[in-house]
Amino acid sequence: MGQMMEPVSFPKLTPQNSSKEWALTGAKDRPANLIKSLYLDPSALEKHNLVINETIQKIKRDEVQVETAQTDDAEIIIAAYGTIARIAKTAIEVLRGKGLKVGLVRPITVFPFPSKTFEEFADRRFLVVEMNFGQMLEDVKLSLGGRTSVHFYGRTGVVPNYDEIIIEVEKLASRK
Amino acid sequence: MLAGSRSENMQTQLQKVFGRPRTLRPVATHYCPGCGHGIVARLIAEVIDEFSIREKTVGVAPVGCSVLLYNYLDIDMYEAAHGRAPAVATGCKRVHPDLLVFTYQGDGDFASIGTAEAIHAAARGERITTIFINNAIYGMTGGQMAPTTLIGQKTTTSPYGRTKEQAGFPIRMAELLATLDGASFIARVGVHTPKHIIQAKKAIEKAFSVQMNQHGYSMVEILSQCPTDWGMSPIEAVKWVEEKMIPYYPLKTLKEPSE
Repeated sequence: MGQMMEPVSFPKLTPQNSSKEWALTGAKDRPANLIKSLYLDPSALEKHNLVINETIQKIKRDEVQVETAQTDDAEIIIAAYGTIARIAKTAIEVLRGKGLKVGLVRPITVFPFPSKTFEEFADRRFLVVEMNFGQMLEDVKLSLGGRTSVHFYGRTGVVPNYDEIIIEVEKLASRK
Repeated sequence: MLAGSRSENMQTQLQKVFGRPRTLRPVATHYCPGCGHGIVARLIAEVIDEFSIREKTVGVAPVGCSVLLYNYLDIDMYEAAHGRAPAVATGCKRVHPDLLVFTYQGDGDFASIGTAEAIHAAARGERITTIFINNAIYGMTGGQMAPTTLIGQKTTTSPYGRTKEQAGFPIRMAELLATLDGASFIARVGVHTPKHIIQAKKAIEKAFSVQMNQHGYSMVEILSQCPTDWGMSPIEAVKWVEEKMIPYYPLKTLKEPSE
């Protein structure tokens, strides 16, 4: 959070009383509670892992967050998250002004990854733009399953300007 | 005088003076023969019972031989990630200031991977207690050199003996933490003789009292024998504590609140 570049506003937090039977509050009028993840018995460990996996599957089901913009008629979709997604939006405005049909898929959560949203656009071409050497690139490719072409533009150490993204999209568009 | 009436008379006079503390679960521990951990587990249980605080005590045990304390104490307990017990205890204590919260950590945990948490919990004056088992070695993982391993001491990772040139000097955690203003009670004790066990219990009592009286951080460093990983018999091990460990790790109360 110390590295956030965008402003973040939190809702006002108020203390809440919740009585959870597993909470450690002192073993008064009940058996002692234990919170742990160490299971030395292999079958007990697997049982515990299955419970954790159920939670992970629930998170994958219920907690995906993603923003899409101007995707309806888009022929090329930029996939970007974080700071670079905001820059991509500016690039898309300029490109639309030039008559290019470009849209955006912005994962708000990278885990769970919004694979289903990407699948919906498997008939478009993709440009993944990141401020690294491609940390999300493989997730996008896995989601699209080889059904369409996925290109990549990454900068590291500097925050790229929107005109760099425009150049990349125009290169891609001309290769049609 | 018949034998029968004598024994009847004796029975009426017999009083139970020693038993298993309520807080100590009636199970066998996994600790090796001659290990100090089991003694300390019992001492903690005795102190909890004497203060009648079993229902308002929470323990935190992180990675190492220490972690299985949760199998032996019949109180609410957390397992913490390696070295992070003081951080977990901090969260618990701040949400539940009326609970007595303690951590139970070995030297590989408290003086190595968890040094940052140890120092900052003490520096913040968190109202928690650490029971720190210093046996100068990594026990559970098989006898590797620890930050507290003595110069010259042989371990699986210092097979020719620890040298200061290669591995530096053993850390005296009690002295280190006693320099911090947030630390209210710091003591080092042993559990290698009955006399020392009694002193160790008193130090644990004091540390818990300090916490309950709203002073800052309290820590009891307990020199503990590890015959298995030291490659000694239990008798040799208690001698080694006396002859080798105590000269480097002197037993004393380094800091206590002025009443």
